[in-house]
Amino acid sequence: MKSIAKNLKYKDMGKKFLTLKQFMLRQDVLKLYRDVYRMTRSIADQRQKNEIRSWAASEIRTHRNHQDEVTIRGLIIHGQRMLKDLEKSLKVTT
Amino acid sequence: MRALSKTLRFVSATAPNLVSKAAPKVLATGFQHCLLSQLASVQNQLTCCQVKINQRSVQQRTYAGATKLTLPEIQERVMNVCKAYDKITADKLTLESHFMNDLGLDSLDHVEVIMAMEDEFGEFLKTNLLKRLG
Repeated sequence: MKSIAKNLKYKDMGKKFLTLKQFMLRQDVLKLYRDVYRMTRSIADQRQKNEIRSWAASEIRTHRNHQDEVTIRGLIIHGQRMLKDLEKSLKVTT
Repeated sequence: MRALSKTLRFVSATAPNLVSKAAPKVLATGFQHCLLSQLASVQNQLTCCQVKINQRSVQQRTYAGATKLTLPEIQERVMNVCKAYDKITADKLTLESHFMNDLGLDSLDHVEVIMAMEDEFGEFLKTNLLKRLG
């Protein structure tokens, strides 16, 4: 989804623009990633911390080429659910 | 560094802002303006306050200590954070290098770098800005 700009073709000078909906979806994805980052800050074990972060990043990157807004929205919601689970398990351990 | 100054505002206002993607550049100037203006206001508030407790008046003096950060210092710390980031090759890195065009990072990497900046300067922001709030 982050490459949506690459896949869109507009006639003016080869520049790629996002519609507002696409822009908001992209911002939601980045917000999700940022929330993962902040949540893993409190983890003491560096290896585990980096593992969770890179796992989240790779998950987002595998789905980067979707165009359909409904699919993307579903993936974002799935990610937010995983984030909530992460939060709960962190609360238990700390 | 509009992105960085926005992140700074987030830290002080505790409201997440969307990071600007328009021109993420490794420039410390905008960062400097933001930091310095806030520093100045903190330093202006160096006051002593008197606290009366019950019948007895107890005078308490509190000074808000502000550590000074100069532009070269900020630049150096920003560059160090970028160099420590494993996806950036240190030889291509200058103050003018563009994250996406020159250094070939994508927006997730951009988020990571901004978060690293937040970690780096977070202590400074916590001690100086949040004192001002209360």
